[in-house]
Amino acid sequence: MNAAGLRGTLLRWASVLAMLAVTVTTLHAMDGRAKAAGSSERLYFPSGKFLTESALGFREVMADWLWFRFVQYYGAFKKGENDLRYLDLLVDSITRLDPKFIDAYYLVSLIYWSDFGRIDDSYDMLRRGILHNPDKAALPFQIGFMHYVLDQDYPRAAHWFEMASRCHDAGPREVRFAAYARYRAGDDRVSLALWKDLKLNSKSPQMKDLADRMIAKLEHRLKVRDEYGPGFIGPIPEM
Amino acid sequence: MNQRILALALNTFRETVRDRVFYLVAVFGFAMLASTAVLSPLTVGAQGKIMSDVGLAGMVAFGLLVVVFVGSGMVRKEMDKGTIVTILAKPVGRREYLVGKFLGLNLTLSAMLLVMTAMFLLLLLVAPGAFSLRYLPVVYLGFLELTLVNAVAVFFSTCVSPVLAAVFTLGTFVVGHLSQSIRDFGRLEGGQASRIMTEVVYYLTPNLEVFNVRGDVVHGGTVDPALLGLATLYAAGWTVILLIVAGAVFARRELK
Repeated sequence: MNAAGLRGTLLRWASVLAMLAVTVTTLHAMDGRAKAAGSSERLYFPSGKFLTESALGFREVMADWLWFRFVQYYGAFKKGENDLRYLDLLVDSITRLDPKFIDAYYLVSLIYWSDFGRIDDSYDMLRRGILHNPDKAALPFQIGFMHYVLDQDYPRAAHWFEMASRCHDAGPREVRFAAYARYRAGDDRVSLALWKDLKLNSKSPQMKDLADRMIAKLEHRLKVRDEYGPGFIGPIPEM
Repeated sequence: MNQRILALALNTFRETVRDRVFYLVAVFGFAMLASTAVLSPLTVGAQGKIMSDVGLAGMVAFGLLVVVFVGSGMVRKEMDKGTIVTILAKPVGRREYLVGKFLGLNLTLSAMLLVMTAMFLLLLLVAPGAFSLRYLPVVYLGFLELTLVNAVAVFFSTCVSPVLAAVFTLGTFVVGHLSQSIRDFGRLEGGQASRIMTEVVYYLTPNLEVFNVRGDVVHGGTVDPALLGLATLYAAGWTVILLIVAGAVFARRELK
């Protein structure tokens, strides 16, 4: 290559690099302006109904993409950059596009009660998930857990734990929580039956050991209660 | 199979390979890797689901790209180059030519899907608990969908220009995924005329949603074998109809 040709090549590459620098700088400047204007809070977002129709056969992928946006949106909220005002809209879109997206119901219900104290909305979100996924244990379990921890409503918690334990993907955890919630609620006979069931079906030696201890405890309580009659209100000696 | 059709199909396959359509497989692999490695911190516990969604949808999307961009120009390209006259001067019927082209592109799609499925299953091994062979029927249904769209592309490529054929093929894909909603709309709207019209549209356009069970399977469901059989029949029915009509149009076409 002669000197003129080399000069031309160098000039072309230098132009490419210069233009690249220009595009990077201008984009950076525009991003900065958008950030200053608070554009992460979108003014318009299509409804879940519209997105479901327009996604054609790619609804789940669109739900995944919105999920990424949701995670980033929530991250920005945690950093104080927005107030999550479009949370409901975004979640509605995700769950309409993919009604079986368990993680979405689960995480959003957590956000409702932990970040906003909207306990009723949190329960509603989980119930909505159950409507679309009646066979998944995670959602009724979470409702039971919330009743147990937040409301200390043990009979209701036990009801949801039992519902979770009847799901196809339920494991010993659901039965254990149901049995313990029944115990806390004072339904000793139901609790005893659940612990016995757990002992029979669990493969874990630790779980069988725990079930043995709870069965002994409950049988003792029931024996004392039977001895003194239904009017007995005194303390039941622990074993 | 007829030797002439087989020769045409193999030639079409070689042609598409020479067109480097298999680069799309590399893009698919890249998309899968990105969804695995780069995006995994953003998945918040849904890594397996997102990988499966991206993989299964990616196979159909890339297959659709091949059908639209290769299939819609397949016949016209040979007409413009004049090579079609050379082929048809030999003892090859016009319908045989079309079927050969269709089968050749389907062979390309099968090879692509095979490689993509292998890549997909390998990458699923990375995500805990995501690997499953229950995805194979989903891939098969995706292949049936692409076969049907391929027949649509071949049909349009016999009657209009490649650009229009691509637009019409994409349009059919869109309508095929919306036909159920169109029918529901007609039923909800209430008027007798609109109800009949939407019913006609529903039955006279291929319903591509019957091949889409990705969502259910990703969430742990399985594909009913009866559905596989019915979907195969449905795709075969539409493909035969489209190829017969395309053959009829192509038989009357004047070639220069």
